[in-house]
Amino acid sequence: MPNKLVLTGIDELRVELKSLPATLQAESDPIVRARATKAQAQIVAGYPEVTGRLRAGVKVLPQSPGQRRAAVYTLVSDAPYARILEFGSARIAPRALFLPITETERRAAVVDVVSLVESKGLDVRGGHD
Amino acid sequence: MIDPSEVERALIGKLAGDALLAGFLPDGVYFDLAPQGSTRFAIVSLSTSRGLDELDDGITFRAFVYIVKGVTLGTSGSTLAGADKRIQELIDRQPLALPAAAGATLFVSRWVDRIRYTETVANEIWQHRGARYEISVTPA
Repeated sequence: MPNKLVLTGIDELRVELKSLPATLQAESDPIVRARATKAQAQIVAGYPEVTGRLRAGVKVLPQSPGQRRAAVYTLVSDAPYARILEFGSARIAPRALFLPITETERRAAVVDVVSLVESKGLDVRGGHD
Repeated sequence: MIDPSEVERALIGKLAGDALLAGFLPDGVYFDLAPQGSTRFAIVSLSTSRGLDELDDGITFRAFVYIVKGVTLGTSGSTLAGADKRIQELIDRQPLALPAAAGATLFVSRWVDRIRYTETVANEIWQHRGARYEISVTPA
């Protein structure tokens, strides 16, 4: 007895799969931006305020993610004293703030994006910490 | 229980006990701050740390990222270059003898990123050169 299996919706599935990276990229952007902004706020709150340059120098700069990355935001602290504060002077101990906060929020952003990808039914494997 | 203070003590002890490094930085190795009057010294300072609780609802390992840098007064870079190289030789992918009191064994000791800057204070020029190093340990 002949059997016939008919699969329908393949063309639609192909279209969906093709658009998935762009969709994920678009949905990842606000997630990553929120983490970057949160880090910025924490750093600003933690910096001492003397002239205001240190706090004003903390900026979130959006970058082009290209085709293979979800979203890219660069956090900078460009006041001249920022490096001295982070790594110390000859007579003042380091007061690490920028790196601990940015590293924590970067890891959290990765976890958030992985959750987003998994919410689409995809499996994310391998170290992404 | 992992005792981070013992991990730090082991790291500083290793650096302080090295004759080659002492040749470059004779004023010693200190945590956070060197004594007044020091002009050629090494600083170890905690930059970041975190624990990973991944297996058996317990601590899989803890990662400590330390600033390890040489600091010298003056404009000559050769002393500091030698110190920077020696620090890297001592820490990057090298063993670290942890005492039983640390409650931990070394998982990895590695170079993370470079530190280099010049500081001018009251007509004095200080140079800082080194790196951040990750010391990750697992419970003993």
